[in-house]
Amino acid sequence: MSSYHAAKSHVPLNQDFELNMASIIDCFTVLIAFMLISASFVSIGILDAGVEAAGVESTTTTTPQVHLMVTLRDNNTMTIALSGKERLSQQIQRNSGYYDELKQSVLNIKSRWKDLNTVTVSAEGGVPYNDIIRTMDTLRPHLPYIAVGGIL
Amino acid sequence: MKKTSFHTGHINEDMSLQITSMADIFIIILVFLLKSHATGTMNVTTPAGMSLPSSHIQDASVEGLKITISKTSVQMEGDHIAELDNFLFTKPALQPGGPSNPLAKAFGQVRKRQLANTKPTATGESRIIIIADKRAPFSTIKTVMASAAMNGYTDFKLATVRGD
Repeated sequence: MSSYHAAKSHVPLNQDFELNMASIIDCFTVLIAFMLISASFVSIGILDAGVEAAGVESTTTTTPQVHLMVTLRDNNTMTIALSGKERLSQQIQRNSGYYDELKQSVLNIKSRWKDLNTVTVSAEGGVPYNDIIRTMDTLRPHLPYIAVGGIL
Repeated sequence: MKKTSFHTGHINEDMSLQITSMADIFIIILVFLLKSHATGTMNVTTPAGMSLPSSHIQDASVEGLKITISKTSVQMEGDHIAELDNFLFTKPALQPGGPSNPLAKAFGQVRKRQLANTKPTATGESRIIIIADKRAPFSTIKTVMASAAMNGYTDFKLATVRGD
């Protein structure tokens, strides 16, 4: 008689078995360690930028009443220029808190021209990329369509 | 005085770890880490010493041709394309009006391959993701964008680090 038959006939089946948790925990520890090592704790954001091409006609059927252009200059200044139905030119010194001043100027213009949602950001050659990104980041909540000027 | 097990000298040897609750915690950590891996769809590799500008933008799930601008080179999808001298293009590499010769050539080749493989109406292929060091001057960024734009790449995305 085989041991199986012997067990079946004499020993009652034990249903109170336990999983070997120690080996499962080992696997989890290795997996978590691997994922923590390979994880990236820096998250990347993406700023959308169109290109304003000189001399190319706009494909939109409605022409905006005003056009806003922000130009960053090498001499640590910034010009906010409004053209079209209203003409305005404002110069801001690019010091540590100029983003607040820029935001305030844009909000003032937005209060007069509520349909304005496009801005062209341009810069002189020596302006650091970081300043351009910070300017775009300041403008984006109020003017969602940002074009980079002076490319072509 | 009531005798405790310490005073009697009888140490309870039936002390085991609560493995089940430990496994529960590990499962939660694992699920959290797996979810973080799944949502971070954009894979960006930057050269050593490069620091990206920061912004407060939220969306990051885009795909496109990745151009990396570091202090010494411009790379396209990890391949070295043009040499830079302290973030600046060297004079012989520049065309009159802005674009760079090696960049324009590389963009032209990739664009030709893309147009041969995809339908002419596919617009997603004209997307460029610019991953540039925050110290790079705008003249260099402009040269890269001009070189891309003259080869039909018009949709530019600028990669930043979220938060400060």
